[in-house]
Amino acid sequence: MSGIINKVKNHKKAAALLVLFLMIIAVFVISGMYLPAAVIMAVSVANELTVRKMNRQKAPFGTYSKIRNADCLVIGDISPKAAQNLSGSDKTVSIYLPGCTLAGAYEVLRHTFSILKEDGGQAMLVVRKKNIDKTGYSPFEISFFHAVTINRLELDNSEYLLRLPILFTPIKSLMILAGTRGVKSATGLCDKEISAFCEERGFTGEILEV
Amino acid sequence: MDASRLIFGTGVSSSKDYDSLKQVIFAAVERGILAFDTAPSYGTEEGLGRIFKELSHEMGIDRERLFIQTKIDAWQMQESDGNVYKHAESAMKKLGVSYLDSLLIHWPVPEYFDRTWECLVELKNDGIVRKTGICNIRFRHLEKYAECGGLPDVVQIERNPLRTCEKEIVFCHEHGIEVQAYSPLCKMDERIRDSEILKEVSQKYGKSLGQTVLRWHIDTGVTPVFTSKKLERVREYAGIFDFKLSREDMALVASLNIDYKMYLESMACPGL
Repeated sequence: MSGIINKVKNHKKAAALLVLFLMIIAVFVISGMYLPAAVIMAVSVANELTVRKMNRQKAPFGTYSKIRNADCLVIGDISPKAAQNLSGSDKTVSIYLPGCTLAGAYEVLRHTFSILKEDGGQAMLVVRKKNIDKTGYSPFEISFFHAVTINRLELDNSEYLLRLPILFTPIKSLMILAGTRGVKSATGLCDKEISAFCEERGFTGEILEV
Repeated sequence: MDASRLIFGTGVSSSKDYDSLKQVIFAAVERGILAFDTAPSYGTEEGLGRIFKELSHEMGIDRERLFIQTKIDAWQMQESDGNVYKHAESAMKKLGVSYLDSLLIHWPVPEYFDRTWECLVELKNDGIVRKTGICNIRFRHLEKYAECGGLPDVVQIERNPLRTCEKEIVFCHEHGIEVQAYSPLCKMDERIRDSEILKEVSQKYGKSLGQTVLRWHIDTGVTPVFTSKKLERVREYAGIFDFKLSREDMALVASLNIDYKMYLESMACPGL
């Protein structure tokens, strides 16, 4: 029952936002301010596309997905095509997290490793050198987080980040939309905590600094 | 008839509307199913509490004859930092009972697991809970718990012909742990529904595919936690105690195993 009520509330919220959005556009158009109207519309469309792409990345992990027992899980600052080339396996699942930190990629791994086959799976965390020691989580990482993690990390504004990625992380959003991030060269890194985590769960973990 | 070996689940796919839930539960009880599974996140504890009262008034089914199982959810573990007594109490209040037959940790979130487990053991020692258990764990967790001397009475895992969980089941049987299977029919995934093997085995016993799979669980020492919104389906599934699968047929059903799981544990329980 509460689920239905929430859905109705969400639909009402969405409808109210849409009406508000259309009214703002209308005001600009009526006042002859076509450029701001066009900018707002473009940003909105880009935001919607980003959210869709963000959600599409989660599809393999859903209840009704048939994708299971992957050979390799590539998480990080690498686009899906490049991830496929990097792993060399057809049974690769990749999660593109533009500009992610090592902490962010690891947290996403903690949420997604069950998609790997039981024994002999491999996880690759790909992080740009400049981001290795940085902190913070972008909407693209947070979209994978469980409510318990969101509470633990005190990500109080996560709801807004997930709804409006283009406003909070415009460059990363555009990178997700472009989806062309490759890897020129990679150096293996060692992290005791991450290695132990992977080993305990029966798969190998590799951290690649790119 | 031994329908006590079936548990009626009130989870994700069950009726949430009180009247429909009451109807299916009455149908289950009429067929001898007296065990019920719930969890705070299912939103059915309160409704079940009302239904149990009505069962007592209308059908004379006392509390002692029922098996009532609920769970501690991940958010409850976090919110109380593992001190889950108040959540157990709240569940009993909603269910209208003075003790629980079984209380399980729904998702053993690593950060809060140890303290939650201690609480469950204390609740059992106090007689408030008869059995303690953990859901969604793997063989490696069981091995670890055995090393620490803290094995549960009950383990509830996703299990069906596409995921037979051999290692976990052998371990549990060796250690006297009751195994319960949720999603025992894998929501009738097409790889089960269209399986020629399952169709052949079912035809051999003159049973439906669902009945055959549920019977396979029972014959392999696992208690299925099934659910349905349809009365006829509940009645159908209760009718699995007049036949038994042969060893060969059990092996045939198990041959469908591809280690497929619908629910990825790490998504619902990060770091599990």
